[in-house]
Amino acid sequence: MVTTDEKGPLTAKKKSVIIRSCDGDEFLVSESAAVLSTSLKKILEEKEDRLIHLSDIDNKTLAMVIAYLSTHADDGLSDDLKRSFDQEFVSGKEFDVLKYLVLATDTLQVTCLCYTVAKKMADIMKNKLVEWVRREFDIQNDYTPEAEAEIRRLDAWAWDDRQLEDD
Amino acid sequence: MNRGAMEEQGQNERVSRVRTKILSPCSVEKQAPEREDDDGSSYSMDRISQLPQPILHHILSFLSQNEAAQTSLLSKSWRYLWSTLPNIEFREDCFNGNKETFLSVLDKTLQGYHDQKLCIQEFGVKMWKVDSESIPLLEKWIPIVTLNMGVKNLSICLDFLQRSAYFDLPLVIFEAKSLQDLYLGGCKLSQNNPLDKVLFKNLRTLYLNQVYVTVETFEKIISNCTLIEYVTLHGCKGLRTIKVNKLHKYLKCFDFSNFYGRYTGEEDDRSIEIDVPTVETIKIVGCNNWYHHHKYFLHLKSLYLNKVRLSSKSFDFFSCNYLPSLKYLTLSYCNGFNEFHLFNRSIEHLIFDGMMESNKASVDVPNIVMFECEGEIPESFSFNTTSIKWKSNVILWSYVNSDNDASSWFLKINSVLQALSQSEISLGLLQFRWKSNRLHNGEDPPGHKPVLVAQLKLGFYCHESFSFSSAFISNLFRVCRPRYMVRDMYTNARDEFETKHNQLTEFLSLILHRDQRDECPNINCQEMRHDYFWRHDLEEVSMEVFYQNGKEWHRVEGTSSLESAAAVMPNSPQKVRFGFKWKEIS
Repeated sequence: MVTTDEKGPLTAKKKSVIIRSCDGDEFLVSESAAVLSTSLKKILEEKEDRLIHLSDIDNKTLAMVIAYLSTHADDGLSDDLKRSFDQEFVSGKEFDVLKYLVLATDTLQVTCLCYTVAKKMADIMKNKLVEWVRREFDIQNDYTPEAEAEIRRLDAWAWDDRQLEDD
Repeated sequence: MNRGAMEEQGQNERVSRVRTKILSPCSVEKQAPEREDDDGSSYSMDRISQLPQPILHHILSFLSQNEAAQTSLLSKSWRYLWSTLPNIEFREDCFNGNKETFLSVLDKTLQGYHDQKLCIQEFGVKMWKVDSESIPLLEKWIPIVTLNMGVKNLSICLDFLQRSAYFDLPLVIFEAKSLQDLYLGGCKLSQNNPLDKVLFKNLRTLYLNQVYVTVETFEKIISNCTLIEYVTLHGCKGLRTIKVNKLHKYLKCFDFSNFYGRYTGEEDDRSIEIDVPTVETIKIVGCNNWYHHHKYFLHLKSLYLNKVRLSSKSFDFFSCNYLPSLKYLTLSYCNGFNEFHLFNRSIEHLIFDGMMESNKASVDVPNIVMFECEGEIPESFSFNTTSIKWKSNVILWSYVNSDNDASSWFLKINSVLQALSQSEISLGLLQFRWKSNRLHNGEDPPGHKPVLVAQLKLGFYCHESFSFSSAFISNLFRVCRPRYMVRDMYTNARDEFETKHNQLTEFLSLILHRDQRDECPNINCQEMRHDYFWRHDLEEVSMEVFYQNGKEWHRVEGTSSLESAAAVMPNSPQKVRFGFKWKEIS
């Protein structure tokens, strides 16, 4: 099924790659989209095989990453459209979804998406009280009250008065 | 618990957490570690701490210094995460706390990096009202950060209370081999302490904003940076001659401005020489001597010249023979020429601001997408293109005094619009100080024809008389037929509705209801029938409003005056415009 056409005329069949998730599902992706991931690009350069098995990315996450790659590989879309796609891509997503996305983009080395997702995760934490973040992400507070007070005293500048009251 | 003990504990935490990270960046082929989210297994203790440290660092890097520091309270594994970030930026404007605290946090944090021998990739410090207290600290840390911590991206932005003060930058930073991007503001590269070694060869970005630098020092730096890609020089004092040449074959962008925040007062005799044929963007603000020995700049995409002395010959250089890749050309308040001919096939966006009455312009840009101009109406103006779909945005001023004939001014507008009539025109008329008796309706000269205009913006003084408004509209509709007319670029719509003095808007609202005009006390009906020749071409007038955060214009239906229109609107509109439907102009 691997075509031998090299960037031929428009009629030539575009090269594509099969990517398999850790759940075993396979996705057909154009090579132009796949190479936007630095890791996939390296793999494709090193081996002839058109089947890439990603043992640590699940179906759902992989589908999202591929949707992103395909959109960004589409020459017909303007940069503005791609930017607004990026914004919509991360908006309204659950934190856990973003977490697996950021891991996947880190693994696959998709720098732009990794940046967008990490920024979105930071935005979720922005202007939130420590208690809120702990609750939201199930972070176990393993400090003693004394240790906590000590940190607050040492880095007093980091907390403004409002938050001290709220805590 | 004392700090030392906690630090030790924190270190251990860090080490153990690094071990438990579930993925490493290059684990594509690796067997997946099992996720055990459901039970309390060792590494999935919560929803976020299990992320590998580089990713957590990446996330924290988007938070402010305060917010990042607050995460230390989340749990022990977070204790030192923020203080080991590879990129730190101390910004006084985002810091809550006084200057003393700011300086002590800066000192303590950097001491922490130093003690642990941590690397910093990006370091930034931004301070206001720099005083004598801050200087020693900067002098102490800047060399350490730059030379010992491997900084790639260094940004020092200082603002002094005293306008003429600068921070004497320790020149030892020029020995930092790792430096790739250097941003300096409010610094002085001293002459007393001549620079003998410039070791950074990998510099890609040099950004100097209000920096005091001598020609010799600048030349020394720039001649060593053969990999440089971006050079930005804003408001730099002492820099009278700037030369970049073919040594700098990677230079993509050169941006010079003699003004930024404060004037350097050295505008006239400065000279800039750019001889890098591969440069893609050139931006120059305020320079009388801009040279280049090279004729061909085959890669130049964007050229922005503001207050630059040119000559008619400069326009030969702007042609596609020499600049075949030029897409964006902006000439803003440049002088030294009256007559010019511009021919360039590649230009898509052309901006010409500060047009003079004395200009004779002939423009030939076959592939134009957007043409913008602002200023006086030039003496002659021709525009040629084979482009099918393009836009033009024309803003014209008038300081017509009582001696001038305003009607001829309108005819000149018409000649400009005729030249642009193949485009979707947006026309703005600004700054009128006219007496209404200077506006009268003369006969149309032969060959004269009103031009369709997509949008007309009127930005002039609000307290016109009613007779001025009607005469103005008649003159205007003689030369152009707007599809939409926006009253004013600067006032908001609520004011429009509430200001009774706003005669023009009121007049336009009266046109809405021609049938009722006889009942209107403001209009002399005889006069109106006589002057308003354009009424016969007008099929429909409508009023539309735009609400804040709205997406489209809403038509206001069935109202006879602005007051009653305001009454039926659910919210306060942000903008108001009038729509005109004209019969086909034959």
